[in-house]
Amino acid sequence: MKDIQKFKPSFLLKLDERLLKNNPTIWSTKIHWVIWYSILFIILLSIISFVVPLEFRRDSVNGYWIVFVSIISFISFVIWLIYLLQFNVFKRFGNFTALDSLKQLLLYYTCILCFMTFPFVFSVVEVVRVNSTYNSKELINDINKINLTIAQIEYDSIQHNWNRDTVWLVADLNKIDTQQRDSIPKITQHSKYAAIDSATFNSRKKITDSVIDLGNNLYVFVECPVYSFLNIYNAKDIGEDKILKSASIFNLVIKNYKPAPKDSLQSLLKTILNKYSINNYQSSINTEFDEQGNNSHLLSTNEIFKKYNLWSVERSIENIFRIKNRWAFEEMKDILRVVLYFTLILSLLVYIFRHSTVKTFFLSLLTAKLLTIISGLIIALFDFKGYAVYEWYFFYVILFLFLSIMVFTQSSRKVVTGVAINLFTLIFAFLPLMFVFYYNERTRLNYIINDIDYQEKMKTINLYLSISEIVLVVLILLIIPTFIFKMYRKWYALPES
Amino acid sequence: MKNRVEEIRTFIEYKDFDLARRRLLDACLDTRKESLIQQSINFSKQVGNKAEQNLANFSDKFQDGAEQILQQFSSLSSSVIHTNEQVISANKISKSYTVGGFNLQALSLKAYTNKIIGVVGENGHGKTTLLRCLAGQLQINEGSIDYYFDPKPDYFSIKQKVAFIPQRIPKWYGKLKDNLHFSASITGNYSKENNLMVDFMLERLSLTSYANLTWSQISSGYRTRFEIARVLLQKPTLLILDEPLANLDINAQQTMLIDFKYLAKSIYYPLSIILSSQQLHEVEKVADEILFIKNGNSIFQTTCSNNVTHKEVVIEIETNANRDTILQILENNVQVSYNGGYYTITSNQLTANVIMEKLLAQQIAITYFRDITNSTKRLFS
Repeated sequence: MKDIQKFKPSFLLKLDERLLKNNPTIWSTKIHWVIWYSILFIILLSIISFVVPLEFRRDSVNGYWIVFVSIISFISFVIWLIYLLQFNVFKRFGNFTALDSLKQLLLYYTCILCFMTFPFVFSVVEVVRVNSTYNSKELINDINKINLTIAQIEYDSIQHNWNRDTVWLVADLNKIDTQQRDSIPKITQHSKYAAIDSATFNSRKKITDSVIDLGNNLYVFVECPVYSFLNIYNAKDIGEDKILKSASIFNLVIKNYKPAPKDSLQSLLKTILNKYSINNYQSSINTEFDEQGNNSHLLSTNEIFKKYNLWSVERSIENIFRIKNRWAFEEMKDILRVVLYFTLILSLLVYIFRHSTVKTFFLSLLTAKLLTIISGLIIALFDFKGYAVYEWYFFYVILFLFLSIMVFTQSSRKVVTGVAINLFTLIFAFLPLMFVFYYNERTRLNYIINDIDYQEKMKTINLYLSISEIVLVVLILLIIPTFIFKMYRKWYALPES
Repeated sequence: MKNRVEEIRTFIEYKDFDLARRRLLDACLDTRKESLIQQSINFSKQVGNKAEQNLANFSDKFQDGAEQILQQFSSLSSSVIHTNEQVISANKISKSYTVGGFNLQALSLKAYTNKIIGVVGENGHGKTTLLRCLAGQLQINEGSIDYYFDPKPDYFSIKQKVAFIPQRIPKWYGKLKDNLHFSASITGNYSKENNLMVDFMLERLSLTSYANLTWSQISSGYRTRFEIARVLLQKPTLLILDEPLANLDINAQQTMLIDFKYLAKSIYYPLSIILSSQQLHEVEKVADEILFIKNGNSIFQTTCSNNVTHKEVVIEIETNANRDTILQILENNVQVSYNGGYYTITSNQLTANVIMEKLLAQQIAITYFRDITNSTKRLFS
């Protein structure tokens, strides 16, 4: 014990003592220790992540790190719980105000958030390391150089036929005049796109190289052959440095083709390819490609890929860009949501445990599990619509609220009331979110009937989602210290029957 | 106050140093003067040091140190009147369990500050149930319990003011001292006051040398004492203890009981104490009132300070003489029963003194004697 004490810095020991004697609510959460050791662990993990040899062209080992560090994270969480459960101001009937109750929840949230950050340390360091190793501009230039050089070297082996597709733009796909359709001149009509609505037309227009208006709502989509051999899904344009599309390569090389000395071009290409080539990717990727059919154009591309081992290069660059874009805004937003919600649920569970008896807490978990199974079975057996899940949720919120309020009329501590308070505390905050999901589900059915623009609707849903998340926070800040704290205070102190 | 100073001086004079030290601490706490309390704590630490106690001039040192504090105490203190405020009133409360069929039947009691109520009775007859009901831990089936320390108390505030120490004390985690600091701070004793009160309590209950240990490193007797210290730091108005003497040795029992008596009569924070125990005679010495429970019924309730006049005298003696000899000496004016260990002599003609005189006159060797005429022990069968 004394040996452990040596590893504790004196300033933290002083802080610990100060909190113990002045602010037991904060002291009992052990947040100061959690933050200190989290910082230390994150620094240590960062150093290891910086030092450990990594090959960014290969598939990232981030997943393994996440699993490994998550285990450490979980163990840290358990250790924290053990220390947390040693002292409880509320259960000791100390001076514990409604604000203290909220303060504790926020401190639990902070502590758990610290543990939740551990698995992402390697991920962040990997991004920093890949950015310092591979410059995005350099990567884009290399991709363009590879595509342009191959187009020039392999000019004779590439098929240069442009794809053409004639379509008929109609106002409503459900009201097609069949006689009129039959009169469409058969140019290079593709049956699938014989008649398209404005939404499909506009989306295709965005990705096609050229559109020819034949009049009478007839259009031809013209698509350039594939010259962008390396097609990196994760690569993003940076300012003026853009990955050249097939049409651009066509304009630069093919349109006014002038033969160049192949030896020097091949030497240049080899140098760039060697930069990214990793041999052991080849076999697996080829199989993947072969499954894509017997298109003659693709087959010629396949030969080019085999010749230059482009699958390996493409995979390498893909991997590099995947790491680079890992923390792009959209991805980060989703990860952040998962982390924050998971942290919130865990914090609420810890909060419940700290305000309830052990028996009632575990009974609450059992009840939640049983109710979920029963509700799921009822939904499945009676063929309820998808939004029934949310209706059941609303029902349970009202039920638990009603049972919880009963505590104010009771003279002894009832397990049922305790379970209801616990479950209400766990689920009430998600009410605004559930309303949005419910609205989304309900309007999804009306979508076909009323023909609401889907993109607009999704924008509205996203806006509602953002608002509901703000309401969620406000609800927690308001309901926990007032209503829920009062219920727990009343329930926990009641004599047993 | 003058009496208190004299009382402490007398203890010192007769070399009852430990008692003098404890009473000095109590006296200083009652002044509520931080510097004087601190001074008494320092003094207590100094004289509590074993190396110091072995010194030849320890007695003089003790006297000098104590006298300095007592002089300050005398200059500060004024006359204080103990007022007995009612803290709890139980009116015909009853409690029954669905499993086991036990019933605690219509029982009433009132508890006041500065007073101790001893609850006695055989095992399994309802003592713990009664105490838990009074502590607000168990719901009563009938009757009512009124708490007087809060105009409109809810159970949370009741439990802030009513401390219950069960016979089996739940385990503490971490350092013992941290637990005490924690208990002090959750009831509003912050910073310096926190240190002062914890140090005081450790010294008062002679626990300072164990403060940095953990729960598993101390004996069950010390666990009880630490629990009492912890509970007292939370400043309860009513202290309920279930068998607090069970884990204590004979000396510790005496010390603890005397401490209860002094704690109850504290001027700084007067307490009402209700305790259950099997140590009948010890409890009777300190309790102001005794409640005897048998089969869930309160069958005897008496105020110990009152001289209750009974028709018959009951004494216990331990002797080598046989029953016939005793009856012969006492001229068959008594009833003698023997439980294998000692004789219980009941008489409605002779007094206890006369019985003893007659036995001693006949050279009967008596190794143990107790007059249980006014004791609840008579009710055990």
